[in-house]
Amino acid sequence: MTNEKNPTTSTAKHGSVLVLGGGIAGIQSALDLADAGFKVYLVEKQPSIGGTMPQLDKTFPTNDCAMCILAPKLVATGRHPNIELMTYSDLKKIEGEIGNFTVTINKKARSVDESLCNGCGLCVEQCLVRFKPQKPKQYDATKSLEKNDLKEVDHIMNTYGKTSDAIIPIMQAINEHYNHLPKNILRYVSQEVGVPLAQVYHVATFYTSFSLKPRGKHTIKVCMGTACHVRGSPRVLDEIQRVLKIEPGETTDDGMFTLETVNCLGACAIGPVVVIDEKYYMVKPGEFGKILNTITLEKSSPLIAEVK
Amino acid sequence: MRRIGVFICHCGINIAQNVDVKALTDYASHLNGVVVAKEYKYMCSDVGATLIKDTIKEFKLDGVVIASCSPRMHEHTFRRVANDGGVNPYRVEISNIREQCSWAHSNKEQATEKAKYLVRSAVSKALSLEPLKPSKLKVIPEALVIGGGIAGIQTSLDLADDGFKVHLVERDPSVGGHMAQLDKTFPTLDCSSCILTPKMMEVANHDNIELLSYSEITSIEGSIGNYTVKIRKKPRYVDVDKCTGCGDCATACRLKDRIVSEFNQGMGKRGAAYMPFPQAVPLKYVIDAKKCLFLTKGKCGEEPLCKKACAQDAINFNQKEEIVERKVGAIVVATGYDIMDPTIVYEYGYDTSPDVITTLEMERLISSSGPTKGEILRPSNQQKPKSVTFILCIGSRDETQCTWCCRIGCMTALKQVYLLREKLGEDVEINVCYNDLRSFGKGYEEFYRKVRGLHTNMFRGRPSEVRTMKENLKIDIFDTTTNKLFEIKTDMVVLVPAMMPRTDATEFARLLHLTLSGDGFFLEAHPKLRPVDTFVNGIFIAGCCQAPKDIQDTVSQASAAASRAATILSQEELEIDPLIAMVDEDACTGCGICVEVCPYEARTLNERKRIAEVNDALCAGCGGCIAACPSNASIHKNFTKKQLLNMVDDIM
Amino acid sequence: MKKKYALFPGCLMPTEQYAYELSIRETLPLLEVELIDVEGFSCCGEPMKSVNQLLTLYLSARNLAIAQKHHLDMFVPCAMCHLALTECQHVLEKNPAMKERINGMLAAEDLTYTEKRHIVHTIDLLHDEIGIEKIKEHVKKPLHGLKIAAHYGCHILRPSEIGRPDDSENPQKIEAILEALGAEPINYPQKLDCCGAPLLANLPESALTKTGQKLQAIQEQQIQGLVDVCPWCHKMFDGRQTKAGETVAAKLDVPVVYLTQLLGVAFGISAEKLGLELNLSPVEKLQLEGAK
Repeated sequence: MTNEKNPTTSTAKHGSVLVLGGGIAGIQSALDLADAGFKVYLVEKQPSIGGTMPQLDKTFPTNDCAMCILAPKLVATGRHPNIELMTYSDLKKIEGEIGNFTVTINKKARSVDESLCNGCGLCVEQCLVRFKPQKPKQYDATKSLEKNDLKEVDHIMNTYGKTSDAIIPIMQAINEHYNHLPKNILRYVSQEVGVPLAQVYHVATFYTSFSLKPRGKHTIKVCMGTACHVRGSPRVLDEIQRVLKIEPGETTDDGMFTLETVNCLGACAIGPVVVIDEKYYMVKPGEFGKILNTITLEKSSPLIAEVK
Repeated sequence: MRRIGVFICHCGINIAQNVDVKALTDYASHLNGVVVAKEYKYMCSDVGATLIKDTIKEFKLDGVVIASCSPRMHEHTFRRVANDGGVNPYRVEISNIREQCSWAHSNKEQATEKAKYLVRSAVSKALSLEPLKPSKLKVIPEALVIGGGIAGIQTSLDLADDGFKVHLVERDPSVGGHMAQLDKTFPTLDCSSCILTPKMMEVANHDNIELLSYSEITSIEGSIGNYTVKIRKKPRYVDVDKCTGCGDCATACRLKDRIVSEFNQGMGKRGAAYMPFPQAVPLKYVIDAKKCLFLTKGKCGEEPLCKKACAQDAINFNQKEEIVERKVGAIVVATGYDIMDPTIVYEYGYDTSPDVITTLEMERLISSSGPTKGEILRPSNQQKPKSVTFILCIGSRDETQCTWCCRIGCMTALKQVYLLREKLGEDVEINVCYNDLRSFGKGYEEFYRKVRGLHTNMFRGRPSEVRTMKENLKIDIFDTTTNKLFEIKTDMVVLVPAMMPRTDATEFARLLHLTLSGDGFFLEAHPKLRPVDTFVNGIFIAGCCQAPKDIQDTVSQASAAASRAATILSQEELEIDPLIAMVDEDACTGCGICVEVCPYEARTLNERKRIAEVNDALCAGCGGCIAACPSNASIHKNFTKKQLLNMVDDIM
Repeated sequence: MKKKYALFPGCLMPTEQYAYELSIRETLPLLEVELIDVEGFSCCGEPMKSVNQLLTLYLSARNLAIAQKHHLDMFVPCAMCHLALTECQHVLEKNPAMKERINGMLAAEDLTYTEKRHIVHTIDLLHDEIGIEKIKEHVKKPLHGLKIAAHYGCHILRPSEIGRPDDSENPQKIEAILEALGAEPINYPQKLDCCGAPLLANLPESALTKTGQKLQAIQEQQIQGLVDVCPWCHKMFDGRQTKAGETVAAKLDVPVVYLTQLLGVAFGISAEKLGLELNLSPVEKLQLEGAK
């Protein structure tokens, strides 16, 4: 005997109450008032009463199945002679005062005759838009770009064509121009070319020549190949790290230098090799500082190195 | 010729996955007595209900079998649906093919076979069900509220405003309960008395409320709609009609300031003639019969000074206790809580140092009507403390003491930190040792941040002891947020004790046949669906007697209990469930075993006829008497031995 | 009625803390306790607990099995041994898989652990099994005016879940025995503080700090002396008192005696027989009758 008792045979009529909201709180209030003999108008904006509780699987701490404990109350509410259910409706206006309110309810159109519908579900099966995925409103990436950037990126994309094959050349051009791949531009490219953003990132993160973070003005690559290694390239790397205060993969705070390691530059004879802005240098341990100073003074850099 | 309809529910995939519902429906339709069998995905839904109703009408059914989940879920609903369709609601039989079949087995073939047996036996039961009619009971539109704390007060006011007469019984001389002992309430810092006393006054003056203070319940008999309650009115030895509350008797009392004051939690003293607190309702004095010299020894000096002092001649040592009777339709229990005595946890020093106190004692120190008139002074030397340390969760969340959280401890401590800072300014160091800071309610988080910003030292950890040194108290605590060990030397320690059921809750529960939960608080019928109902129809619970909670939740629950009680009191008649015991008068020998066995006191022996009788309103249909009766004279309607044996035969 | 116990000596008592053994063997027979010396008992394993729990369990189980072979209850005067043996029993009873594994190892010596052993320490043997009344009967020279503090130590009080000889937060059994002997036990805030012995191997300075701080506190409260019931605690308070004093920069001069030594004095046994001259702390300050 654990279910609700007190079946009502009340003939008492005390007045009427509007309950706004058909979740568990509204349902319980409605039932208690109806059992006490009041006429209850239960207004709910969703097509069905229930609220959030039917979305739950179980309830704590008893682990009761949420629907199992709610359903008797839903049915009781639906069948109670004192409760008038107004679902798919919302409140327009309240006038009056305590004891004498006049309430205007807007009953939205279901487009289904409630008195005839028996809940069979055939209309759902036949619905033409049933299987079209309902995509949420798309984020328009155009909005996040500056006018100049928009022009530039549009130009790049038009040059290579807006196809998925052109992703790599497009990204190379962007990387060249901006010295890295800005997030908002990648979003825009993804949107325009029609390639999912995840795939764009897949490409961006695979190749080491792409960088998602702004690169420094000058790129320093230290060769860690075997020949350079035995000639002391780890010590050179240590020194560079100490001087610049960054680790491989990072960029200095002032945006001047990005440090990277590479596996072999094929210039073993002049090892240990450090490439700075496409210029090849032979840097013995302890000499990086000297080279660094020459770089910051230079405006342009010829391709083949100076030695020492 | 019976016409049974069988309705098989899929319960989504809960049943359909493991039971071949189509085969089952087909099988059922061929059973003896069955004219139609249907199946549907969710028989408990509106559509399912309509299906049942329509089928009843179409096939002119006179009995219904539902093969679905446990009857505990929807039996009541299905009975109503059948009733709506025109079938007697007690000619409905539920066959549990979910919990007892689909959910218990994995082999679909075997599960389906089992389901067939279950349905077959249910049909055979349905064929023998009697069309029972519930009897009716008149409802007395009056309520009894037990307990005059904030919960009892709120319930009483709600019911009284609804138009019902309320009898409010409170065992202390004044209503107000623990809330009256508080200085301020969190998180708004409203003065507790300021928000409570208007309600206390209303309760005393409301036309519909009879306030029986300094009274206790001695017995409750009857059932929902018709309870008879006996109340013992304890003698105040003061004539309440004459007493003006002037206080001359208390001032004159020979034992003035010699008796420990309960209201001040032992921190202050009173006399034998006393007023519990200045805002007491009713504002009448009372004489403590256990301490008064005249009442215990027969003489008080030359003559009792209180009697001499009273200008209204209100002192009356000849008063006797009075037993009164009231008849009510519903009862709300709001008896409140007790705090744990920290003496049990010896290591916190409550017994070894007077400077170790509880939050309730600190509340009395803070209160301007308290024993120190609101001055914060160390009990050991009556000096202002330079450092106060709060230790939370004393006895709470403790495997060896109270396993539950007291719910109000964190907020109470924070509130007192704020008030101490207000009273003592920056001169005092305030430390808080906590487990988890639970500031869960509306406005609580904001309050917590405010208090943290008041130079409060918050340590997350549990000190293992409070050591009583010569001049002060020493606490070692490992703070898990900084991973450092701290030593706190402090002048006063405030312990936040666990919240427990009243010490006499178990005995009291027996009076009303209430069930207790594992922690000793009164058990609600269902924590989510029926949080203020109990398993006894017509009796509701509200406030901390059900579980620890703060004042906000207490007041909400009190109003909820009032609403629930009102659903009974607003009806003129109630229907009584007919699925109860009855007596076969021819077989009954009048042995009386059923009377002893019945836990609901629903059985009596008719001395004249020498046969047992059942009080329909009290019988809960537990079946105890059925099993105990040696003469097979005790019969459970629609659950007779013959019916049940037939079901077994069908399964075999 | 004579009570029989296998005496489990442990390692420290027979090698360094002779006074404890002497006083036990002098006093307990008077209280009708027969102590049986059993061949084969070894280290209880407690010192290795933080390094190898299986080894500790094995060693303790081995000793329990030996006692089982002789069908004897065990009297364990050392608190560390008492904890090791009690805890081992608790683990084996709760964990049948471990019990099987250990028994597999014990089989090499034809030993097996199958039944729970009754294990007592000095405190519960005196207070619970022999009883205060019986102790009072034997008091010939009551220790009147002796204001002395009790030190319980840690291993004898915790962890409370497995059952220990006295309450972990408010132990009172030593005080009850001292009162029965006519002495005046003094309560003090540092009563439950550790002696520091478990830290001795790895953090000796921390160990001696704990010893020194407790003795210093006792000294400052004008308590006449300290009573202990474990050879490790006694080793720290009595044996290492000077070093402890140096560690906490205090001049310590606190008499430290075993409970059983005081028992013996009250029973009228000579100081020599109780090993009182073996105590390194200034016990003569206590002016016990029969002591020099």
